[in-house]
Amino acid sequence: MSDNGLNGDASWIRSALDRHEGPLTRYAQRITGDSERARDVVQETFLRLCREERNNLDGRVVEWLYTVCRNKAVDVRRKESRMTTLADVKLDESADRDPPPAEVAEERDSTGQVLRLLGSLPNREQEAIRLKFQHSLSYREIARVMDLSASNVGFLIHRGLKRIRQQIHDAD
Amino acid sequence: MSEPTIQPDDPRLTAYALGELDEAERLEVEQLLEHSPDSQTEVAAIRQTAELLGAELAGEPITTLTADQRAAIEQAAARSHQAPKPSRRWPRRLVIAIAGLTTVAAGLFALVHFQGSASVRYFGSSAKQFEDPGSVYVLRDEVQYYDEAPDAQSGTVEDLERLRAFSYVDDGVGRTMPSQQLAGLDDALSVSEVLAQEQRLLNGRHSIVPPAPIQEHAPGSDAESGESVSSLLGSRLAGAQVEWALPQRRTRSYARGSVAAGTVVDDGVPTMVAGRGISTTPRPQTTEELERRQVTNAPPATRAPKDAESWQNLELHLPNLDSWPETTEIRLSVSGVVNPNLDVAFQQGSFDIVGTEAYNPIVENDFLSPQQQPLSTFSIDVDTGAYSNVRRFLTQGQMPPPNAVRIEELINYFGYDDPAPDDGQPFSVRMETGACPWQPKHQLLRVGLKGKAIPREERPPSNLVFLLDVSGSMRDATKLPLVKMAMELLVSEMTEDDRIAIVTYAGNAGLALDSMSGAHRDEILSTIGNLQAGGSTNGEAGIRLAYDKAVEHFIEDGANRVILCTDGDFNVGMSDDNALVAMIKQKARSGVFLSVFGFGMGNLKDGKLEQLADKGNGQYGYIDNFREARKVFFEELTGTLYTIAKDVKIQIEFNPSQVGAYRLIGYENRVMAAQDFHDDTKDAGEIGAGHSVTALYEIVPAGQAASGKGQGGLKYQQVASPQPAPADEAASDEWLTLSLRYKQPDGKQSVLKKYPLEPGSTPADEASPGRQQRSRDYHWTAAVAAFGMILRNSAHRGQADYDMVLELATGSLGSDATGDRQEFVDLVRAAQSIRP
Repeated sequence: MSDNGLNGDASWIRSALDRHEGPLTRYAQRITGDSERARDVVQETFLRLCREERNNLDGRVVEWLYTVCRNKAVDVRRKESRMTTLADVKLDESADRDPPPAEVAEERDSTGQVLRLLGSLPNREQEAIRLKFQHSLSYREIARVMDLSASNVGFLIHRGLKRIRQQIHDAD
Repeated sequence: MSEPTIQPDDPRLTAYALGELDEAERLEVEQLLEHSPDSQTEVAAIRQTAELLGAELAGEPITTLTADQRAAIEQAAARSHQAPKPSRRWPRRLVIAIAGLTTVAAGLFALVHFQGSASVRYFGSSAKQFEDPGSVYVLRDEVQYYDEAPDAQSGTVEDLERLRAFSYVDDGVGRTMPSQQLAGLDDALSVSEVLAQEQRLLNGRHSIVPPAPIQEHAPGSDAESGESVSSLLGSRLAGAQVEWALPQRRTRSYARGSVAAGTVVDDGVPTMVAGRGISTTPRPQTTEELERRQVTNAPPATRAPKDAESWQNLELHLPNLDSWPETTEIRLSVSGVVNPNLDVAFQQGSFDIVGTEAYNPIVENDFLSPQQQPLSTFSIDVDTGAYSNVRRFLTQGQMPPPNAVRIEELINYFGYDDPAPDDGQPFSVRMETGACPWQPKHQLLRVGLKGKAIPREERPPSNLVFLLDVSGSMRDATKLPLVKMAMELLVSEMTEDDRIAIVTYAGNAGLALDSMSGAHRDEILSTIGNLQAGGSTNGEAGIRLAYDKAVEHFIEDGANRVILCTDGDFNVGMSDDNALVAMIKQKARSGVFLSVFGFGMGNLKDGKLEQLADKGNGQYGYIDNFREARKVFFEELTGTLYTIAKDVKIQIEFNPSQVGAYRLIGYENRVMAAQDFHDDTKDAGEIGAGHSVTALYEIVPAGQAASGKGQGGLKYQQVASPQPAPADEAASDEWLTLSLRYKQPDGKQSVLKKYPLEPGSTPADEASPGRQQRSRDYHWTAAVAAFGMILRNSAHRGQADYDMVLELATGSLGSDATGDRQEFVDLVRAAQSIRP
């Protein structure tokens, strides 16, 4: 890419891209269930970022990125689910339900156990926990990304962690 | 003196452990922790889990963008800091899309102003198909982004359409509306592509964001930051427009909300002019005509409201829609035109399209005195429709209409730990009393009935006929597709001893599937898969056929049931509802019961559907999502299909020397006259296998004046006379005696049982395990009742508020294996955030 002397202004975008491309794609993938779509969503998010005035973001670039990404990913999932066959929709919806305890209890092996238990939580608890522990967002940021109150977020994380702990405990 | 402590299950501990509390809270928690060793351990455990989680999550593989995608972003980044101003050229794909817009009959545009952005943005708006004549929706979409502004100097109607297509609807992070229900468009799709794909209408809110101070712009100049789009476009004729489709064949519908000042451009359908009236005008053929109409219809500046509040509760009443031809596509549009003389173009607000859902009014039960009315008689009810319906409203960010909140249905949605009945008994009865959370001087009485469970393996054979509404309005994804899913779930449980038939009513009512053994799963599933929505409703032929099929394949000692699934009215085509009801009742007597399930929204005739189920000896449920469908048609299938007792009535005689006044919470439309209790010809509710039923009374102990309203206070005497003299039994400590009548599912005569109650004792097994759990049900019931009363703005809510509900509820979640109780807690929080 040619250096036209304005790269200084664009570099903040590039550094955002470097830092957040991976985590955002992972985040989007969890929502859309598809890495192709996830990449599209993330690309659009960054394209959108290019249209934003940096001042507007007020230093809250990370939060902005996750919020925009989430909204796009949720829309994609919603649209995709409408276009798929009935059977697929059922699968998509039933992902919102906890799997029966038998499935969770099957694997006693501790490697990846915590992740499996995480996967058995209701979607919102999972999302809040991942945003906190994988993406390092604060409660307030998570609240804005997920459009909930901070105390809701606190409760989701509290419950989710508790469930995971209990299941680890039961498994021992 | 004991030090204040913090409990191990307090969510603050997690926040504390993760460093999320602010300084003041952190100090507070630390002080509490000093005296709470259990909680200290908890904090350590939380931190440990957090670390474990963090470590494992960090190890998850990452995907990245492709090199092409990254390159595209970098180019855009470089470009964004080079380009001076948006050019005037239209992007090519927009032109294509617009052509699609004018030819398609349906269109929705939202034109609002974007606040606070540094640059003007324009959106193409998506259009939705108004194929759904049975529903009322407001659509607002996130739309495509374009950096170029339209040029609308050419002055044709098409250009006006193009102009209308531009709006901005953006809060800066891609979230256009406060509500969660965003249709969302992929930026890369053109509008016509979206039209081809999108078949679904969403209910929701539409917001119009207030403009910054308007400045006049000469045509052709660019908008600058903070300027109103309206002023820019206003000089070019277009304005804010909100359109939504109305159902046909409705006698009453209204929209309430705020609206922009201005005129309306319509399509030959009823339109609204700035909230002032309705006019029907043909579509303008030329811009001249358009302008002329605009000028004549535009309200003068003095009538324009000066502030958003004046527009807040605008109601638009539409003329009788029944007389309109069925094929008419009906659109109501409200648009604002920026008249240079107006200094305000848009107002902030939101529309709640209440549409034509119909709820029977609820008149709450008052406090009654045992001296005047010693007997409280009512029919039990296991319907849960009101709960799913309330859930549907709240998850969409709306408060439910108070008349939709039938408190007994909210309470009965949940499972309880009431003990299973003894052998041979169809159900068990348990009573508990305790303090009333919202009126400290009062007590609460919880009556719990638990139906006998039938294990899946032992369930009797069933003969089921699905009666499906497949009219056009059922096309929505929350309707017929969900019905099909529900049916598939049920079919997956059927065996060769069961029979299933499917009857449809719409246009050509017909037998989609003749009654067939459950063993032919493939054929049944394939028939279900092929069901399509289309046509209009004609229920009479359908319901007759359904019942005929059920009778034809009647199974003795089995479950014989017609299952009606509809999105709204059951428009039978019979001359009147009485004939319908009479038929349903007669069939019920012959042993074919009717269950009714409502789907979707906007058209729900909740009151009517509930009554139909009532007369048909079945239950009424509302299926708002797949999870609910799974609950009703799969997890609780035996409860849905098998009645273990019918015509179940409760009559409580209160002892006036112990009870000063009582109030039955809920069951307003189930209350019966005292003498009907013993009258076996009087219908009452049914209990399905495994169902729990709860009734709740608020009790004022004798000697106290009721703190609530409605003592039926008399002016000239203390108590009404004549009054029966207290019997000897009144001197006992018994508060009341509960009498119960029920019939076996195929019985004609009822069985009577009596249960006295002394406070501090329960007539059921004292030895039942989990005393702790019993009071959990009690607190849970109180929480749900309090929530119901808040939603209904009940005069009897006392001190009930959201915090009280949350405290009671979170304290009695129990194991909550189904997650239903947690969902309730989430709903309470949702309500709190909608209307604190």
